[in-house]
Amino acid sequence: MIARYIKRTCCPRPLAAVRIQAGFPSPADDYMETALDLNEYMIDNPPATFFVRVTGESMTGAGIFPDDLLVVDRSVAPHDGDIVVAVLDGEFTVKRLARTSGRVALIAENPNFPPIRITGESDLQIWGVVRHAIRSF
Amino acid sequence: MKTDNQQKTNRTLTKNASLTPSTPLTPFIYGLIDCNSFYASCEKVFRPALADRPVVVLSNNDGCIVARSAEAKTLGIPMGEPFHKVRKLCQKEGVAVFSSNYALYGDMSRRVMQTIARFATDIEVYSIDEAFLNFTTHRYLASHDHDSTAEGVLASDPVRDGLTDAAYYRQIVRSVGQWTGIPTSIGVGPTKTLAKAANRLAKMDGTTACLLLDRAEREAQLRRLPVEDVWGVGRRLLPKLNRLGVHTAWDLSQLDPSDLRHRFSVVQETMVRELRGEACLELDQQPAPRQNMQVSRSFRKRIEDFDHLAATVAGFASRAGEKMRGQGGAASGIYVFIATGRYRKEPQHADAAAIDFSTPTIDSGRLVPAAIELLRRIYRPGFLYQKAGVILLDIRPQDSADRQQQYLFDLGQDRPEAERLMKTVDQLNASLGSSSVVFGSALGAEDWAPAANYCSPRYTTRWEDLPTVG
Repeated sequence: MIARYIKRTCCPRPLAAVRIQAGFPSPADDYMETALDLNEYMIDNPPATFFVRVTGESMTGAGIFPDDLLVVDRSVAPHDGDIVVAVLDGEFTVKRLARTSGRVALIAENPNFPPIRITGESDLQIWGVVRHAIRSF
Repeated sequence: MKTDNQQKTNRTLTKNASLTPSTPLTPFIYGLIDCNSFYASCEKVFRPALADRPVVVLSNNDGCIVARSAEAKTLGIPMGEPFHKVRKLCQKEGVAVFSSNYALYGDMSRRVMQTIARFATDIEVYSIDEAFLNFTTHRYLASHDHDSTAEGVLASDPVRDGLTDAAYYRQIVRSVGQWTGIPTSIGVGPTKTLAKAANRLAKMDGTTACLLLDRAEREAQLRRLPVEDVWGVGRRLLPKLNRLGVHTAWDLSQLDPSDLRHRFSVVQETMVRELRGEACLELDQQPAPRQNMQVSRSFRKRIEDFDHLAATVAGFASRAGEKMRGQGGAASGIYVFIATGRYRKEPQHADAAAIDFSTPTIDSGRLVPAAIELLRRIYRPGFLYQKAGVILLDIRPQDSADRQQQYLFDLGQDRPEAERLMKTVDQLNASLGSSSVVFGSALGAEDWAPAANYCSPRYTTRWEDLPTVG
């Protein structure tokens, strides 16, 4: 329901550490910093960042397990060795990209899953690059 | 490719430049970027199996077709068609059908607009899938590599910065497509109306970018554009223009602007001047001023009870809708306010709330429940309310030039039936007295939740609906 684009410049300002009383400011005031923000840590480019949920065990060797949350950035150029979300036969899959001169393959990190060789560069569609995996306990 | 812009040496841009049509402004570069088959494209982003498949999206209550992918258009499914008429065809051809998923479309729209905003300092979000851009001063990514986040300085020389080159604008389209998955097209011109015309030409030609900056090329281009595709030419104006021998955008641009002002109004004069390259409209300016429609009353007897107040507000919404339809308008939003008597020595409460419709609506079947819902949000028990009102916001003409938008009017039922219903209600009220026929106020909130049998998940706004990767 977007009617207006509002440029938002949000600068969270740190509060002073203590209520200001006459005469004695806190020695920490000059060193105050904003609280840590996970969004800032994890998301470089908000409009291009999506969350997906992992099913299957093809990437357990890389530390990605079923039910993990992945932070995927569509605006980052994929490089050899990156973990990517790709489209294969109309389905999403998460694999490590192996791109060497002329050859492209999607490698699983689990001995039970064979590598997938891509016959032509045009057959491979990279949906986005995985930047973070989040696991809950 | 030299343009008029380069001839002029004085290129200061005055923010408060005079806007009367008789004063041409210093040269501008405007763009109109819009998403191709927006709702259908949103559904495809998260269902890659549908990449080349026909996809349609249905209106509220699954009534009629409000969006078609290119493949669905090729199958001959008309825009605005009641779904039950094409259901068999969809089954036979394997067309993927979706109910409207406004949570998804709103979020994807936000992403598209945020991406576009990286390429132009000034952006006007015109609708859920369209934006006007002002490139005359612009910010650009220092390199074209997606990895780079460096940004360039404000530009003042269109040629040096590639603003007269289609490649620059194609890069914007490519970036939007890469970052959000949504395909777009862009039209560029020295005025908003020409930018819109360029966008139509791009769609006609199946290209991603079309530029109308070059005056020498403009005649040939505008001769190809039917006049009904010009921004501001609707069903009522078209036959009158045809009678004047005007059939193409070029014909229209050749009319005398002052003559048009006499025949019609300054709105049409602006349209012609803009087609000729004289910028009259800035961003956030519409050809005609924004209109609202208000119905409000002070009560002789103050009202404390919610149901009584709701019935009153429902009546106001209904009446406002009737007046608006009588003027050929459709509402983009609705605003409800209530207040206690200011001059009495009693506890005071006043509040208001508003909601935007994702597409303009004529249907009281949507206005009334929305008004009641807004009332529910602001009402507080224990106060004696003396005044209440409903304002329909930003009323757009029903027969706008963008004919696609006509069918996006969100109707509760099949489009022809709802129009007939509205017409009947309006006629009865006209002959029997206002408010003889009113819409029953929604007593239960669930009454106004529309039927949606083909919902897709809210992929980007609900944790439980995230796409899965194997």
